[in-house]
Formats: sequence, structure tokens, C-alpha cells
Amino acid sequence: MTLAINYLSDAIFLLDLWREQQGTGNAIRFARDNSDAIVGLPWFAKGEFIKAVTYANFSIWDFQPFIEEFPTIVPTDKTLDIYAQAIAELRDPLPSFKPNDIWFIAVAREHGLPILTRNVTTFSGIDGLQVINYGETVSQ
Amino acid sequence: MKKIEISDDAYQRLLACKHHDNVSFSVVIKNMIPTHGSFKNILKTVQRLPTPDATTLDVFESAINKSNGWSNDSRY
Repeated sequence: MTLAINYLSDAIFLLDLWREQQGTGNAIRFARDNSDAIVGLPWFAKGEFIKAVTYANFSIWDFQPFIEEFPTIVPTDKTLDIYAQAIAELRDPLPSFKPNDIWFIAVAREHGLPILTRNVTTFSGIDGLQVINYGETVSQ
Repeated sequence: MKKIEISDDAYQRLLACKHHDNVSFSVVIKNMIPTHGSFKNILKTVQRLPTPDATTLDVFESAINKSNGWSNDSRY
């Protein structure tokens, strides 16, 4: 399956865009520098953000136009295979990975998409993974 | 080559052509930008969100981070 998407992002990236709404920060700067790029969210990352909206007692309707801008990347049978392979491959350091980290790796590998995050430590040094730290990156 | 914005529907239709190995369409698609999901649109919609305060942002970040953890339940 070919996706018309350039980056995968985590939920914290959405939060940073909101945090920087009134000013200029690294997330907003990255978005401006890559204004034609499409950023997708894996299903669990979108769920994390929607959960946070609920926890903070906001109406989901206030956030829906923003959240809907991010195409949702849903799992396929291939995602499950790659997830299992990643678990086997990363078995030894596995306790340092959280479940959604492994899903992130699986989705990125399946679609060959770079991960857009400021949590670069978790994903650095993993084969077949391109990680972009929007906290430091200039125009792509 | 000039880039143009097209509707999501039109973009998906063109992608469908690309998936049928229509080479000329796949060249065209590279220079078309779907309006859905681009940073350009995201930057517009984020401006329409309520203005967050520090406490709200902390609640959000905590809720997101707590979503992404191994369960402390010993069954897992």
C-alpha cells in the first residue's frame, strides 16, 4: 500500500503545535518549513491525543477540525507481522521500549516513513528507521 | 514545475490511477498537493484551537505519556 504521506508523527508533536500556537517554536517552525508535506498519525497516536482532549475536559468538537487534518494510519496484516518481527529483534532491550514505541517502529518500517518526534533517544540506532528530531531540525 | 492544490477527492482519484500503473499520472501526482493533512492546513486549524494555559498543557502531556507505557499489572 502506498501512502500519500511524508512523515509519521507522535501525539506530542500535535501538542507542541498547539503549545506554540501563539508564537514560534520548533514544531511550528518545522511545519512552516515543510508546508507542503503531509503528516500522518498512527491510529494509537491519534487515540492518545483524543484521550488527552477528554482528560483535560475539552469538547472533542473543538479539536476535531485540527485532529482530522492528520490522516490516520491504520494497521494491516503486514503491520502485525512487522510488529512481531520488531519484538523479536528488540527482545533484549525490550523493557526500554513501550508498547506504542514498537507499533511506531512497525508502522514506520511498513510504509518507509520517517518518524517525526522529539523523543529521538528511544528510536535512535534502530535498523531501517529514519528519525527526525523536529526540536533540532531545520528545513527538510 | 508548478505545484497546485487539489481537493482530497481529486487527489484520491489520481492516486487510484497511479495504482493502475499509469506512469503519466504518477508524474503529475508528484506536483499536486492534497489539501487534507498538509502542514499548510494544519497551521491554519491549530490557530482556531482554544488558547492553552500551562496547566492544560501539563494535563495533555501527562495523559499522552501515560498512554504509552507497559502496564504495571504483573499479568503482563
